[in-house]
Amino acid sequence: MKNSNLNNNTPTFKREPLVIYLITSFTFLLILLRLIFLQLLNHDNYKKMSDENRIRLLATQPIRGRIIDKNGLILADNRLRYSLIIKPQYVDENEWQKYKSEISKLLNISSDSLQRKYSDGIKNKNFSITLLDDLTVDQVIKFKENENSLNGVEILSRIIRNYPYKNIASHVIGYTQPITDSEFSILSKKGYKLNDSIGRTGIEYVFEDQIRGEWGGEMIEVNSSGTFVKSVGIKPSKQGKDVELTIDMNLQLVAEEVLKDKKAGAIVVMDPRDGAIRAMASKPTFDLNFFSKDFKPQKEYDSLFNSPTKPLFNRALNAYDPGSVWKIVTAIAGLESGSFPPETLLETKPCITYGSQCFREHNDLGFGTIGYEDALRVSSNTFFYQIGYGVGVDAIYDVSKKLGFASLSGIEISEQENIGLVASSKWAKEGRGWGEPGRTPWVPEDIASMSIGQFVVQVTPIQLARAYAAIANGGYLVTPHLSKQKRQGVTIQEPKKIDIDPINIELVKNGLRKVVESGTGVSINYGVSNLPPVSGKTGTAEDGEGGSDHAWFVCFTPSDKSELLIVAFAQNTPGGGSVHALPMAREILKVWNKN
Amino acid sequence: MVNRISLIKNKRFFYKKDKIDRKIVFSPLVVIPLVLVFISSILIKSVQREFVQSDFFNHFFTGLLGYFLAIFISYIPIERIRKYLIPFYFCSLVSLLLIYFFGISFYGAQRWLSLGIFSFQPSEVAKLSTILILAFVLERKSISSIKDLILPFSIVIIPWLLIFFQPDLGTSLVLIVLTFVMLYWCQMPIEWIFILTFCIFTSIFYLVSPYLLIVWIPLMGYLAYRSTQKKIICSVLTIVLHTLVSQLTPIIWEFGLKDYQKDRLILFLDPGRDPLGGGYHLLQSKIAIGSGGLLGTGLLNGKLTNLQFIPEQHTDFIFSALGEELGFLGCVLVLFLFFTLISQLVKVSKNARTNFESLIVIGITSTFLFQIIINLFMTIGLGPVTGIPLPFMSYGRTSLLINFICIGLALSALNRTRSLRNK
Repeated sequence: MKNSNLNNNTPTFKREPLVIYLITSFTFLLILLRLIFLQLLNHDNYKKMSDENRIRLLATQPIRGRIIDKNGLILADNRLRYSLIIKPQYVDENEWQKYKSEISKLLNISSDSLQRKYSDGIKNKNFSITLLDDLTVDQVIKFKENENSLNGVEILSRIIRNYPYKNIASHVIGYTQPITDSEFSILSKKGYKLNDSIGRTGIEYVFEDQIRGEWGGEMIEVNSSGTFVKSVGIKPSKQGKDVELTIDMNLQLVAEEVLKDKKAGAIVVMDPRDGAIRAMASKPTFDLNFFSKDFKPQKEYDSLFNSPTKPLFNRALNAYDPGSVWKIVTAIAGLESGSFPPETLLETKPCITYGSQCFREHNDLGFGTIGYEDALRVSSNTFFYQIGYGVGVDAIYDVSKKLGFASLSGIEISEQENIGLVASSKWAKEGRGWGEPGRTPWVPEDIASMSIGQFVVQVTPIQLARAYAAIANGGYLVTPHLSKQKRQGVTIQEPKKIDIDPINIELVKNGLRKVVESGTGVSINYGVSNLPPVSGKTGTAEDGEGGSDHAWFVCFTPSDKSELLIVAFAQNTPGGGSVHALPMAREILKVWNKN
Repeated sequence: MVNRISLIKNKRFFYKKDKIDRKIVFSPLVVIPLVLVFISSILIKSVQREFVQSDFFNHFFTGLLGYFLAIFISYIPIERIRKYLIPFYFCSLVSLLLIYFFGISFYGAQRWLSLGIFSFQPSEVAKLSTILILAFVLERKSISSIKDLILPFSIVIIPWLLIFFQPDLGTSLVLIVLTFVMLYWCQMPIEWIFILTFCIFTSIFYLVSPYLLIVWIPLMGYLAYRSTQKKIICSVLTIVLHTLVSQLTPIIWEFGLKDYQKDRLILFLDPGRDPLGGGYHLLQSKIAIGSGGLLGTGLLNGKLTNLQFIPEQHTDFIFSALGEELGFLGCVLVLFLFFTLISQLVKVSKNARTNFESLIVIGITSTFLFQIIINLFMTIGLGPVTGIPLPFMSYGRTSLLINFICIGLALSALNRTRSLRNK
């Protein structure tokens, strides 16, 4: 070791490689013994397993949790679907011809369609070809009786999603779809399998994590003829959790029913005390069971995804011109401003000029000199023009934000939600969402539209429900929700007190009661007996996109301690809110009153 | 003697020509890795025969490149690299850190860093940089008191944490092992290694049967008593450490480990638990090896290998392809090659002229050895799935190149030994 101090003065360490040699020898010996055990002693065993691929994996599908309504009615569950498949590698052409006629006779289906599917499958080199989808139980039994003569043909059963109410509450419930290949690479880490389904919209999407359950599986050893020998390991699949909705099917069904004769529209029924949604319907709707089919006919597919009527679109969460139902916002803005105190009286006129245009009263006459309550009762335009002009756009914007407009409502299925629009001077200055900043300033004409809910105001039925609930419950902003259950750690927010003087809310509430007592909403009681007092507001709105008028009606009952709030909306249905929207609400009130 | 000193004094970057043993190109140290690369290239080809992928080609040429790189490095005296060590260490830390921001994710772990046209695994580079910097700090003084451990530990802990939280459990284990072996090489009492590594058993015992700890922890204290100078203090410290570890175990289990890491550990203890996931792969790996028999199915003929029954077979499970296609004899050959490589490396380390060289080579040796053992144990079903590649055989270009660089460093140390001996 005389050379060890070439570079420094440190003595060389005493190096003892013995331990390392020992560890190396010991572990290598272990490996060697293990290899002898695997490759020499048990070679025959493993060879057999390998040759015959004796280890099989049976995956067991998790059962997706159900979706049920408030009363325990099932809105979504699962059922077995049987499909008839053939494995072409076990069948030659002659056999196939024989099988074809046999199956066709047995199950009473045309042999042409069998041939078509078979040929397609052969062309695509499928490992197994689905000959028939969704067999009836009868067909399954018939096939099972004759199974032995049909080698290579099998019945596969699979659990699929089933929606007993078909097209009722479709937008709320949502649907599932198979995951795509590109999604699989990400989702496989979360335990999804190829061809697995995943919730795409609605409750199915939002509650996916709870509802989904977990795949299980069994590893089994089979003998050379493929029959089960023993289980090598098992992990049971976990059923997903049920999701209970706040939806009341009685109300949901009537909500869907009243929309039937409308071209398009939406109903929101909510408990104004806490925001629990009792019904949410959107017309046109669609049958959820379509998504459980294996073969999706192009025509049906187009009518869902490419139709101009947009059936997949949830109109309850999309924004439209509110028209006169917006006037409560202008009223509160006036009251809160201090310039127009509760006792304010204003002269209404046939029309009032702002900028270059004379904005008309809807009866072209005016209603004389009236206060807030009467202005709401007769739904005077010129009264609210003056209020709006007096307080300015930003005061109205501020109040609308307090009432939850121009923001997400907080409902679970926010993936379908549009926050709409409430104009402000900032918005106008910044280009109104379409123009260059500075080129689209606020003009006097705008304030007229702003005051009565046209063009520069776009709100969703759910936002209206929220705002009116705040009037109904005395000043609390609720979070609309479809389920009381937690999702991904999110709990529903408690109602929040709004920063608006309760006296002003009370005044608006009185006005809304007058609407039904002796104003535009008086027909709510027609043909209905012993309904508790109702408060409400009608609305007829010009469609900012150029279609015919929308009809609105919002009401809550009982007027004092409200338990139910309805927003009825008929899209592009000219004739007025009291004619088209109000009767829808009436039917729902009838059903509610009966229970 | 004059000559020897001039070897250091003159500022030539390479060894003088007469200092180089021409036979080094045939040294088993570098020939064995090349042979392993050849064999595994064919196996990778077999695994991926259905694909257009050129992984086997990449592996082969990276290996060839590595061979020449190793020869090239052997011409550089290791002493010359001293001044580059600290920058290298920090560069590797930065690249580890960058992973957290720009890393390419794979199987829930961020491991790759992309540099435009090619990407690499910073954790592989970090292994080498850690070995070098540890050798640099340890060469001067043997380890005799706890204080001596502070510097090396603080140097290792930074890359270790960065790697552990990628998360890359496998490489973080490699780092621990190479640190301990290098410390042992510096005369640290072997009991200390026991005391520290047995923390793992303390954790396991806590989970399995906490009562065992009543005997176990005092035993650790006794080990400390036996092996240190400040007996009482160290014993107490050891007992405190192990008690702490046992109490922290459930917390680490809950928050420190990713789900897939937990699964792997559970799986190892009870393979039937997840028949769909790893359990199936482990079993298929065993079946593939077992079905190989004495002679195997022949190269490119493995049934399970061709059918790709074993996921990641071209990386972590390459040995199962070897077992199936070349059988027992092939496995024994490869085992023999690994054994020879390891013992050659240990010899180089033992005979190295300076502590610095010796420590580098032993660090390299321990890295190889640990990876070989853990990988083979996993493949043949004796150990858990940890995602540690088999040196020179598993597909992975960063790790292959780094491994050849390590071989180059060992060759350089060998060169020096020989040149001095020849005089």
